[in-house]
Amino acid sequence: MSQLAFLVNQYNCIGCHACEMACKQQWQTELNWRRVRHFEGGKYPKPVRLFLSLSCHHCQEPACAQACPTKRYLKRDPEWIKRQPWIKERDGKFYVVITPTREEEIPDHLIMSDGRLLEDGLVIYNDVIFGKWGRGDYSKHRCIQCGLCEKECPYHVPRRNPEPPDEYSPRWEKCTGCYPLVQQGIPPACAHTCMGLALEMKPLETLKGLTSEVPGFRYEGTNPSVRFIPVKSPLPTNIVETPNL
Amino acid sequence: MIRGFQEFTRRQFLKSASGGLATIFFNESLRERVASASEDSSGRATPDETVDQWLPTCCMMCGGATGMLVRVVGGRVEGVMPNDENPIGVCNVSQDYERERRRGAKLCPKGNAAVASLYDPDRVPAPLRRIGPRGSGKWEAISWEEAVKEVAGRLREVKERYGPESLFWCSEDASFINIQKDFCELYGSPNFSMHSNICDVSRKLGYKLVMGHDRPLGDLQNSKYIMLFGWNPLAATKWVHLPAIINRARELGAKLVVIDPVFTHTAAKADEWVPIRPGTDGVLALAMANVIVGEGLFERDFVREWTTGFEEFSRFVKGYSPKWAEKVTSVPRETIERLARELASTRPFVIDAWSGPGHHSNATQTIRAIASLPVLLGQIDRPGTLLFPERKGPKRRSLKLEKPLPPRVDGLGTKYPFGHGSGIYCEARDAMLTGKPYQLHAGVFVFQNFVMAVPNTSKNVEALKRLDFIVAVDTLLSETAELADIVIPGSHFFERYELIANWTTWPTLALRQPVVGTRIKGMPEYELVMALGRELGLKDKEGKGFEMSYEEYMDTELKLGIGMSLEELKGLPGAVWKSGQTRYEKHLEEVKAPEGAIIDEKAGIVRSKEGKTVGIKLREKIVRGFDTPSKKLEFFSKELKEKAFEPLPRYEEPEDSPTKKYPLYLVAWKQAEHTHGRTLNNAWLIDLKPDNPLWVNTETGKRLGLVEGEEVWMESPYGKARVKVHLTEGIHPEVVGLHHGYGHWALGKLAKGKGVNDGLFMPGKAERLSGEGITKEVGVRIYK
Repeated sequence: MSQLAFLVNQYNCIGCHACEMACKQQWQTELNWRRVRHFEGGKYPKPVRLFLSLSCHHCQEPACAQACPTKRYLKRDPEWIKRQPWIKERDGKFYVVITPTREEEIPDHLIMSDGRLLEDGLVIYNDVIFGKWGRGDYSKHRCIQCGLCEKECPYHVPRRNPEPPDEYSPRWEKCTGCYPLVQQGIPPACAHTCMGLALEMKPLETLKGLTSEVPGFRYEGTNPSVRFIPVKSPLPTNIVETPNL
Repeated sequence: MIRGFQEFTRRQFLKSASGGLATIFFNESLRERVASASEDSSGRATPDETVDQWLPTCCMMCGGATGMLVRVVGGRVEGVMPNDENPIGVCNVSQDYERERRRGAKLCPKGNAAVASLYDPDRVPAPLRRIGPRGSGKWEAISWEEAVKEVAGRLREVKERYGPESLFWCSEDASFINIQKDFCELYGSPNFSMHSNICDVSRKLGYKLVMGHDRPLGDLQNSKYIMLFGWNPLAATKWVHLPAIINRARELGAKLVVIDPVFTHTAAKADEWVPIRPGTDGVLALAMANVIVGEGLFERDFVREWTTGFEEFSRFVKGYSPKWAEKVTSVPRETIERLARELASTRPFVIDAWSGPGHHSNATQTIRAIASLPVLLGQIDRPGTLLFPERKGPKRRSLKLEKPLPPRVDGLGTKYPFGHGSGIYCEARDAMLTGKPYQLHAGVFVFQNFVMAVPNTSKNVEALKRLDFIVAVDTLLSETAELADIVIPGSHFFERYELIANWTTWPTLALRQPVVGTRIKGMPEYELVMALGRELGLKDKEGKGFEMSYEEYMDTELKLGIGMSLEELKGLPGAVWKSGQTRYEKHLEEVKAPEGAIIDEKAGIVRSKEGKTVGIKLREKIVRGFDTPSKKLEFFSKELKEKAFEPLPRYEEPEDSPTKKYPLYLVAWKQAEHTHGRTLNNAWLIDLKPDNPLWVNTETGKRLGLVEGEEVWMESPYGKARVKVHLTEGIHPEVVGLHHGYGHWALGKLAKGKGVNDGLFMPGKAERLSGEGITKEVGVRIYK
């Protein structure tokens, strides 16, 4: 499977937040990993309202993974893994080298299937283990609460959880692309539930020619795996983001 | 540390406990019960982690009843997913079902957030008895046995002292209705009422009068042109498949036109938004009919063969010129003419209308006017048009009462000959205040927050205070429960049964079933109703009472309805029964005249010996026709005329239009994040949208000197409150409005104090034909 990407159909999106809630219940998070944003513009009687559902873009060059001092993030891409000096392969096992004296083994099932490295390109945690259907084991997380992942991500996707469920939980979190579901052939929870048929996860190579910029999302580097179908009518120039009103 | 809902719940509970339970006076035994309830929810009672299942059920975050799979681990709900065995959430036409199903079923944000309501720390944990004055919030916990004894005792007393008709009973409309009806009838009260009469009964009646079917559903996906009057299906997402099928139609090139004073999320997706003055939709529809008739664009053969009253109608719509309509509706004449011509030249199309025009004093006639358009153009019960669903569902057992029920308190069947079986809340409320036609003494409110749901909040509070005895059944201590004498904890839909046979166009029936043990450590409401019935010894002439279990009761309903047992239904994939397929143009189906049938040669109507209409003669054949008195589609209603109502869909100015003193229309709408006023304490949903500021058109705001985000007074003749201003281009300049459901002063810690309740400002009248509560018609003024 090649790099997966979110396809966000702004023409179809109805701003209902079902994706956001599906994500929340699937992985039982306090923080909403996915967020739907609202925009308004135009002039009566021809106003415009737009919605934009975004989470992690599973970038081809994930800045979070480079920024994290304890190397919590990992991209499921054999080429990328090979390029990371801090990932070592030994006897068919992969290890994250955190400091010269500290290594952590990457559980096989996070990056491999049938003895081969997975190629879906999802950017996941290597220190939080998710079950097949939900719930994560956060007990071995290595978040030191520096916030560098959020700072270095040009889209500021990882965010600080102000209320982690307990003292053992990490502070910074982000979408994992629902990899346990995707591996079972089920769409990510957000796309699965999308009432407006506005959100899909598809191989990036099938999305050629689609735009990577819409109001509310500007390309800022790191090759994000997200593409958009914009609205069809021409947009006014006075579009601004609003709260959910 | 495995992170799961158990921690979420425990933390939420501790947080709320330490936050202080301000209005509830907790005595020791209640504290114990709350503690044990939370223990239950954290799963410490039965933590068998090896039991990990996906169970099918139907959602009930609203009445839409979308198919749902629930993951239950060790007795706790750990997640949900759409259930594609259930058409609700996939599509509403059988021919599309298998194809759409492969693309997946859906759940809305509320369904996805259902678990946060299940584990809401504010849930009523045990039966409560009020120990302070009404509204004081002082309660003591009592046992279930005590609760049943006390409620039964008080109801017996009321019956003996004042007669059984002095009991008013109301319920939401999607839950164990039949057992509640049984109870009321056997008790002897005619006053069973339910939610529908503050929902869509004007729409029902309008369509019923014109088309003979009170619940047509649009085949939106296969339509080329969709025109919606005051309907917001992309945000008021009761049927989760609607956004998908509307978007599918848009992708295939259908034009979407939304007529609404508010630029709703549906309008935001439309090809054209037509802002209109509230309550004038009927004029717009009649002006379009004026163009269609005047320019000879209607379907002549269809109109001749299948309608009555066209002569009168065509003369009548001459009075509704687009030029005049522009003055009334504020929709430009050219727009009206163009829309009429677009409609007339596009096939197939769906025109539909719901709560926008449906919540006004002229609602039924407005819906009739709108319903006349597809009749003129023959766009009925064909693919891509409004369809007449066929329904097969559970059937209520018949009871033989000792004596006939006395007349209802709300005028249904007398003052309101066309009113809906769900009753007339506004009239019942007024009867509580006036004692006319008789005084009500007891009220039972099942999942019905009467105070907040019925228009004119202050009147509702006063009315309820006049009752001697109030029982509220609810998951939360709602404003209505606050006034009750006894509060019974309601169950979450994950904890109870229901049979659902609605919202598709072909017969389907789905099971809602308990997927987890109850958190309330007592009985679901239907068991309570049956326990009360047993305690009171209620039985009919044949001894039918409440001696069975609710499973047995459902089993009977199912066998009577579809000839299937509860166990068999449970065993079907996804616990959903589907039968046959969507059928079109059912009025053309040939029927066999029963023996001794009488044919009325002039009208062609075929009647059985007993006088029941069975069909209509059409070119030597007897066909089914439509379910109207004439068996045809009716522009002109003889029924209405006979009962001294206007037989043509004549426009009347809304009774409570703005005035000089109160110059702005106030309307309300719904969005996907909440259901009515009842999901406002759901932690996840209230977080999505914690406020409902008042939308004011930017120009209007400028004129009034308003600034974005500032707090101002809004006042109508019936109430006033502080509101936060949101200036927007997305509302008619003469209209202000807000998202309905906010403004709670009870319900729970999260709901309380958030936003404004639109019901506060409403006169609180009922529509004169359908009896529907008028929830969107009043003038307001805004000042600092």
